This record gives sequence, structure tokens and C-alpha cells, in this order.
Amino acid sequence: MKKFCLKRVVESVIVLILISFFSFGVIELAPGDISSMYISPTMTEEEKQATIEKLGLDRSMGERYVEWFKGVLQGDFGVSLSNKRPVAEQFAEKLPATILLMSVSLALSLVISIPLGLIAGLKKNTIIDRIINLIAYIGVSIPSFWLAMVMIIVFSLKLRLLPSSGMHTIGVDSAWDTIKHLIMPAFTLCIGNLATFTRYIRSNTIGQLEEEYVLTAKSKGTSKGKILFRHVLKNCLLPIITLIGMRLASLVVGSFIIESIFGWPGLGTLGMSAIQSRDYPMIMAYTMLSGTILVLGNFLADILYAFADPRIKQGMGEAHGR
Amino acid sequence: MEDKAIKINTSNVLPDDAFEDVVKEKQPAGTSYDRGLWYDICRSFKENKVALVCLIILIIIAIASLLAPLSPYDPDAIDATQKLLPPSKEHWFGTDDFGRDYFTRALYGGRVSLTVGLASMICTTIIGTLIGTFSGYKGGKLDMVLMRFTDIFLALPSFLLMVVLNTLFSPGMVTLIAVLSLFSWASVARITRAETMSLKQKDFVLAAKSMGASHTEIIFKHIIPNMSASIIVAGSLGVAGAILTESSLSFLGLGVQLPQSSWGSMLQLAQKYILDRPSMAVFPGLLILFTVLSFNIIGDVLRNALEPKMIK
Amino acid sequence: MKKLISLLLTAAMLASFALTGCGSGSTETTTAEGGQTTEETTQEETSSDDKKVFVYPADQDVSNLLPSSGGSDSVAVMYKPLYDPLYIINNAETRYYLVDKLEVSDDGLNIKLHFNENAKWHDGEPVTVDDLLFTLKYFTEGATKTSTTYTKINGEDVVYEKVDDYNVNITLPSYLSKFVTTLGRLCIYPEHVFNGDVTTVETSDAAMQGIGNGPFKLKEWNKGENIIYEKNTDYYRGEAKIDELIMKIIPDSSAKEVAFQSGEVSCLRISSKEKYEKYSADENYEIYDTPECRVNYFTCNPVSSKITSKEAREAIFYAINLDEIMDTVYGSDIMSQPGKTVFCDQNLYFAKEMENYPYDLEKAKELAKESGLDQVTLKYIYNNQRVGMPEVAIVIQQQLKAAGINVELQAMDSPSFFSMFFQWTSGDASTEWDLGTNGWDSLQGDPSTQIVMYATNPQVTNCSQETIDMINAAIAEPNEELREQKFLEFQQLIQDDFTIYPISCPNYVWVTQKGVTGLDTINSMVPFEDWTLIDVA
Repeated sequence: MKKFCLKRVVESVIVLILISFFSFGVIELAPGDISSMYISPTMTEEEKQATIEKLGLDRSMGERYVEWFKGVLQGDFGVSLSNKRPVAEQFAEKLPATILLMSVSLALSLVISIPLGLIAGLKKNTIIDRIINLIAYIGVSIPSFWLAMVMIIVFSLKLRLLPSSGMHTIGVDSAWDTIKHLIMPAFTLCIGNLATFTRYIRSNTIGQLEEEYVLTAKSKGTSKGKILFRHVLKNCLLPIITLIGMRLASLVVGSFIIESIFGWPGLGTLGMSAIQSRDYPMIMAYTMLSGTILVLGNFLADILYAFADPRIKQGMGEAHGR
Repeated sequence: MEDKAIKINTSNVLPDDAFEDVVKEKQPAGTSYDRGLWYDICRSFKENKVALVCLIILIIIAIASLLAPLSPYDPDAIDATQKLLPPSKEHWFGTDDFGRDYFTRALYGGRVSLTVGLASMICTTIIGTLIGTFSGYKGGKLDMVLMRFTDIFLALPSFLLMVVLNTLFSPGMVTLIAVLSLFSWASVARITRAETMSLKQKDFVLAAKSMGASHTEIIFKHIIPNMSASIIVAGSLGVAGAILTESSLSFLGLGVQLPQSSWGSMLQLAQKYILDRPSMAVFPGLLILFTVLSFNIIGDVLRNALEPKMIK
Repeated sequence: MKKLISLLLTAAMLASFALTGCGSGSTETTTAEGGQTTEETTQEETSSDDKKVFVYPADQDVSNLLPSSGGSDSVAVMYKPLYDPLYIINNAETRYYLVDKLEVSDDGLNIKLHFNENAKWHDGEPVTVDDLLFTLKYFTEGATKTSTTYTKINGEDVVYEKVDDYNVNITLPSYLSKFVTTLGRLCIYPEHVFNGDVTTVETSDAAMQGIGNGPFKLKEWNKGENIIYEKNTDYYRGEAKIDELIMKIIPDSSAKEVAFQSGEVSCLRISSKEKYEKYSADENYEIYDTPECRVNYFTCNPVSSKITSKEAREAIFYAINLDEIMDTVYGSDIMSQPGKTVFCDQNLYFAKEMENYPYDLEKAKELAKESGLDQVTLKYIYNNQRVGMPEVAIVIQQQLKAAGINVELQAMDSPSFFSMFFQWTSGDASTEWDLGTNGWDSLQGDPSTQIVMYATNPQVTNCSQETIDMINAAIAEPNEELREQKFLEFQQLIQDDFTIYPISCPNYVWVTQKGVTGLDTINSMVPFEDWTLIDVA
């Protein structure tokens, strides 16, 4: 077990370092001269030179990478080019809103998908199963931004039930208000997960129902409900945990499109504007952060899996969590 | 990520005896294999009406897109007097804010969306299969290095990087296809590697080896053809994913150049008029939904029909 | 079977959890609109009843509240209510803000400013000449060294001489016509707040507090969501009519419109004739339009390898049908006036009588053939984040196609567009594009702020030497009449050069909720120059 953990730690670190190369390299390889975006026509030669020096563009790529990476290790992602404030500080500001949105959408998808998946598995190949299956298919096939647009029209404009954007009504500071603002973005974001989770649970339920222990329990006269909740559901949770591990990154980094459409004041909106204004330190931090969390999520999922299921020790772990 | 979930779903669409048939069909591997594959595909469509419907939808959309030039309208011709007309007999989907026929544009948009989807699927499959097969076949250190490399690609925040790359490099069809392929080959590589690992232990491969077949011969003549079922499945799901991602990128304005359009960029334009002319958003949205849905369902049905082969 | 039913019920309960949430949420909203639900909402309703609140839909949040924190309109609109300019000159009048007296000597070399003695910073300190001097020092010695526009003319220093706290004498080394206009737009920084230290302005806490001198002061800043400004009751030009001004951040344009229709925001900028017609027909809304003081223009890259002759440029210009562009893109002259000259009608020296290039397809075809343009494909770049630019590009592409000129469009976002279009500012001009559209803004008052830089640089425009000489003479001409004459001649000369095709002078068209007034009382590029005039019913 220890060996397995250690192996995964080493792997994760290597992947992280490579991600840092990637985050840094993408920007460096971009066509066009970075400095030209910060030099205005009215500047004198000296001012131009000073700007280039300040951006560190007079030094080699290697030097800049080392310096950047040192900072990253200490949690210092540099200073945003467009507003000169520390990147980490700006991320910290937006993090709570994104975490709130993402965890609610994750919870929502679990709450909906567990019963759906159980029912589908239990009633496999019936009309109910088919309907649930179709819903799941639609869930993975629908463009989420389109769904968001449609929802805004229906719920905000036509029915006037829900606010179209933001997180609070100005001047109102109640939980209800926030919940109302949360419903549409959280639902839009949960659709994809919902579909995946439902199918996962369904197939697991089918698998579990055919396991010997279930048959034994059945023959002993244990009620079907008990079997479902005690055994089947318990065994389904494990893969779900893995899935959640993989979704951790999206949980923190957010979804730019959905956040922007709903004007949610989170990391997604921040990232989108960073990309549009070519705020390189910000973009680098953004890719680095999401990569780190993704790796961390996978790592945790693997470890959890290995703990829960002792059959997976060496090597086998690879089959999971990806 | 989507494919993973779907993969685990060992659905029960097939009757129990289907499995036996399939096993029988499989012998002997190699030469007569192709007929069996097509036989299975046709059979699964015959048995699954939903899949058949999906296939028909896709065929209709594909043919309509191919025949787009037959439309009496020029997709780019501007007519200020015909702006934003509602759907009518002359203009089935109405017109857009340049007075261009929306139906014709949707057809041309379909060409772009389908081309991007198919082309990036083909690139993805080729790269993924080559890396996966090579890695699985060679094994050892090379396998480890290649698989770590694959892991990195799986661990990257792909959509974010696609947006970044598409922004930094001038957007266009080629950029789109390249970027989409760059971030999706890894899962194909994983699947094909696992298959290669099991296939290379098989009797027919060992037999070919003992008869003096070269490595290239074994890989291309024996291993890859025997994985075609998985590759077809991965491809079908890959197209679905690619079309969906393309629509998101185009929606952000990172798609093909104007006046060309894809369904995604039509939605970007429609967003401007969504309150006054929701139909402009409905048509491309539904086209994306139906296309992606069809590819997903077909991919899944094919998996259920073809994959039992691979288990034994 | 029973068990199964109970299971289904449980499942249904779980599944409907979210739906119940929706359901009760909705009742809450509807009743809240009626104004009589929970205590919280009732309180809010009553307190906002006697308070006049204006909600502006903003594109993006800002990172600090310094007056020069960003150049784009969507950033400038956020700090404008906090900071007043010195004065504003446009073609009709001079409007005084922090400065209440402006004297310019006959030769234009001496400028005397007198600061309004009642003007105070939001913390009660008076606005003085020291703040102006601090601001200039910040521009030249601060961490970013943003600009020397105010301190140097042709490389020589402009001398600022403090007479007393409220009077300053400015001496120019040589005459420059735009100087007075530009100086007036300056928003100054409070010296005492930054302790006189120019190096830490951006990083200090004060950068976030927005201590300005305008009609509104910062009340609350919910980052990423909104900025709430409240009326400055100690304002030197008389209190604003509204009590609270809220900048609500809604990045998405259709979300903005939804918010407007549901009454969450007070105004909305519209950019199409269809929307204009829709809202003007609805009596729940009012419509205002003000000139944006911008000229959107089309140009050929002078260093392009494909457009090498004047004939080629003429071919392109004759192929452009401006009427069709206006019809398709803007639909009506309420949205935008067609371009006439390189200046707009809000400028000083605007040549009213001039006509734009004529549309002559046959001539264009002929010239295109002669100059070999029908053999190549031209690359047209445009900024897809600017209103109307993609549409103009699409129309021009089709028009040039009709003249046998093939054009390939390349959409770019603002940063990459500017870095390619203005590559000449950091070295050699880019040869990667052939055609492009851009806009000149801040064209109130003296128009030479930008035009000189463009017109005189052969990497940027194809101006003849005569044109260049004329504009240089015009900006250095202290005599008002002669100067006007030269500017008028310049407009004709640059037209004859076939280098810049003025496309449009767009308007800001606003729809507001019924009862909002004051949006049309001032012509202003950035909404709005004078927030005190805006009122809600």
C-alpha cells in the first residue's frame, strides 16, 4: 500500500512539473511579440525599454521559467499585467463563488442521479430504463451554453421566476436570494455530470444485483430496498468518488462559458477576461492551478480507491481514476 | 471523461445468445474478420430501432450538408431588405441579420461542424491508435514513458487550453482540428494500448510471429484490424465530443472565419437576437443536439454489439 | 412490489428536491415583486422607495479605482462617477469641472488654469494645484510611466508653474493645437491620499478606495458583482439627482438585455435598428441617443505587398458602397451617421460640406484589373470585440467580391488586433494584413490627438507629402482662423490620397426605463460625462 502511494506521489509530481512546462510554454510559443501589447505609440525609446525590462522579456526563457516556477512553489503567481495586483490575491477573491456554484451543482447531480440510476438499473430494459437512458444521452449531448440561453429565456424572461445573472440582488443579503441566483447556473452545469453519474450507477446496480452476495441476501429474504441501499448503493459510491475526484478541477476552475453567461462572479469569468486581455501571468496561473487540482483529484481518487478496495494495489490502480 | 462512463455501462441491449453468435463468428481471426464486423454492425442496427433512427438522422444531415450548393441562395449574399425574417415558405429557417437565408447557412454550417468533427476524429484515432498500439506492443520502458506522456494529456485542463491555444493562434478550421485532436488522442491511446496488451498474447499473433512476420506486419495486419471494433466505437463517440467542443469554441468566437459559419458560431450570432428571434438559436442548437446525440447513441450501440468479442 | 413503490417514492422525493427548490423560489420572487413578503424584502422595498437608484449594466469589473486604470470605455465608465476632468472642450462649448477658469494667450503658448475653490476630495481635503502636479509626476516617474502627453511637446518640456493653491501657469515650448483639449480631459490623483509617493500608487490601499472628487463616492464594492456609489453631498457643482449609482457587472450582452427587461438595470445600450424599433414602440421605455465621438474607418496597409499602387486603393474605395453598409449594419442614422471625412461632426474643424468617396462598381472593376488586384487574395483584419466591426467586414468583403477582389477575413480579439494593427509602434509595421478597420475615439474638440500620428507616418498611411505638411502646419498654427483653414484643407487632401475611408460615426443609443432622464443632455464619449444630470422618476 505504502509503495503504491509513493509511486503515485512520484508520478503526480512528474506530471505536475510537465504541466508547469506546458503552462509556461504555451504562452512563450504564441505568435506575435508579447511586449507589443504593453507598448503604446506615445512612448519614447527609453520608456519602451523600461517596459520590456519590467516584463522581464530581455532575459532568456529558461531564466524566466525558473523564476516563475520558484514563485509558484511559494504560492506567488506573479502580478497581473493588466492591473498590477497579485494574481493569487485575485484568485482568492473569486474562489468562494466558484466553489459554491460547483459544489452545489455537484451535489445536485448526485441527488438526482442516484435515484435515477438505481431505478434504471433495477428496472433494466423496461420503458422507465429507456426513458432515463435517453435523458442521460441528451444530458451528454446538449451544448451547455445553449441550454443556458434557453433557460434564461424561459425562466427569466418569459416566466420571470429567476434572476438572469449575478449572485445577489443588490441590497438583498439573504440565503434565499443566493439560492435563486444559483439555480440556473448550477442546473446547467450539473446536466453533464448528471448524465454520466446516472449511467455509471445504472450499470453498477445491474452488476451488483447479479453478484453472489446479493443473491444470497435475496434468498435469505432480505428486502429489496435493504439490498439496494445497504449493498448496491454502497458499492456504487466507490466509482462515484473516483468520478468526483476527476471533477475536482472543474469544481475549482469553473466553467468559463457558463459563468460568463450567468454573470457569476467566479474564477471562470476571471479566466475568460484574462485570456481575452492576454494577461499572461494570469493565464499561466490558471492552467497551473487547474492542472494541479486535476492531478490532485486523480491522485486522491486512486488512493481512496486503493484503500477501499484492497484488490487494487500495484498497477491495477492505473485502470481507475482516469 | 464521457467515454469512460459509457464504457463501464455494459448495457443489456443484446439478447443473451448474441454473445455466443459473436464468438462463433470470430473464428478464424484475421482474414474473415471484416465480414463479421460489418455483419455485427448491420445486425445491431437492425435490432435497435433507436440506433437506426439515429443513423437515418445522421445520413439526412450529412446528405443535406453535402447538397448545400443546390440551395437557390448564396450563403454569404447580403440583402439589407430581407433582414431577420421569420421562417417562411421562401426561407425555411428565416433570415439572419444580413438578410442571408438561415437554412442555407445551417447547411453550410453543418459542413463545417461535421468536417471539423470527422477530421479531428480521424486525426485523434490515428494518433491515438499508433501511440497506444506501439506502446502496448513494445512494452517496457518505452511503454512507461509513452503512458506517462498520455497521462499528462489526460491530466491537462483541456478545454481551458483549447481556448488559450485557439486565442493565441489565429482561429480557423485547421487550428480547430489541430487543437481538438491534440487534446483527445490520449484516451484513444489508452484504450488501444490495453487492447494491444491482450491481443499480443493471442494465439494468432504468436502464430504469426513464429511464422516470421515482422513487427510492422503484426501491428498493422493482425493487431490493429482486430481492434477495429473498439476504434470504430471510440471514433463515433469522438465525433460527438469533437462537434460539441467545436460548438463551444465557436460560440466563444474561436471558430472558423467569417463569413463562413458553423452551428456553434451561428449560435454566437443568434445570442445577440435571442430575445427577439429565438428561432435563430433554436435551429442550430437542435442540429447540434441531434447530431451529437445520434453519434453518442450509435457509438454506444456499436460498443454493446462489438465489444463482447474483445472480452474473451 | 410495495417495497418497490416505497423505493420509487423515496427516489422521487430525492429527485424532486431541486424542483421543490425551484417552486418555492418562484413564489418568493413573485410575491417579492408585489412588495409584501418577508421582513427583509419589505424593509428593502421601503428603504429603496425614497431612494433614487440608477443601475448601469457594466461589461466587466475593474481591478482598482484609479482614474487612469484603463483606457477602454468599459473600464472608464466605472471610475468616471468618482473623478471629474478639469474641463471638456468640444466643438460647441467648453464645460468647466475642476477648473473654473481657462485662459489661453494669443500665441497659444501660455495657459492659465484656475481651480474651483469649492472642489473637494471625498475625504474633505480641497483639490489644489499640488494634486495636478502630483499626477503629472506620477505619469512621468511612477511605476508605469504611462504618458508624456502632458509634459513634453516635440521632446521639449512643458513648464508648470504653481502660482498658489488654485492657480497654475503653463508654458508650452511650441504651439500644439491639441494640447488644451487633451489637458482638459485629465483626471487628477489626490496627492495627500498617496502621501506624495508616486511609486506606490497602484499597489496602495487607496487605489481600491477610489477617493475622488466627482459627484459620487464609493459606498460598497462587491468584487465581480457590482460597485455601489452614493451621492457626494458635498459636491462643488451641486448634488447629483440620484442617490445611488450601481454599476452591475453583466458581461453577457443578452443577459444584460434580460436584466433590463426585467427591470434589474436602468439602461441598456442597443446597437441595431431592430432593437431600436422594438423599444421605441414600447411606451414602457425611453430612448436617448448621443454621438459616440468616434470615426470608424477602413484602411489599406501601406506596407502591404499586394496593394502597391494608388490605383489599387482607388479600386477598393470605389467598390465600397457606404449606403449598403449603413443599411445592413446600422439600419438607420439613429444608430450611426455615415462617415464623411476623417473627422466627425463633434470635432472642431469638421468639414461639413465634404462628401465621402463615391460608389462606382464599374470603375472599381476596371481599376482592380489594371492594378492586378483581381489576381490576389487580400487579408482583412478587424476587431471582433468592437460593436459593428464584424458586420462591416462581412459587407465590405461581399462588395469587394462584386468588384472581382477576393478578401479573406480574419477576426481578432482586441489585444491581438491592436498588436498587429499597431505593430509599427514597437518596430516595423506588420505586413501580414492588407485591409483593416479600426476606430478613432476621443474626437471631441481638437481632432489632432490621433490623426497626426497616423497621417504623418508612411508605415501607417499613404499620405502624400503635401498632406503631411498640411497637418503639421495646422497643429502648429496658433491663429484660430488660419488653423481651421488648414484643417479643412487637410481633410480634402487626405481624401485625395485614398488612404483612409471613413465608414461611420456611431451613436450611443440608450433605452432606459420609463422616467429616466438626462441621458441626452451631454454629448460624451464615455457614458456619461456628467452623472449629476441623470435622474430617475
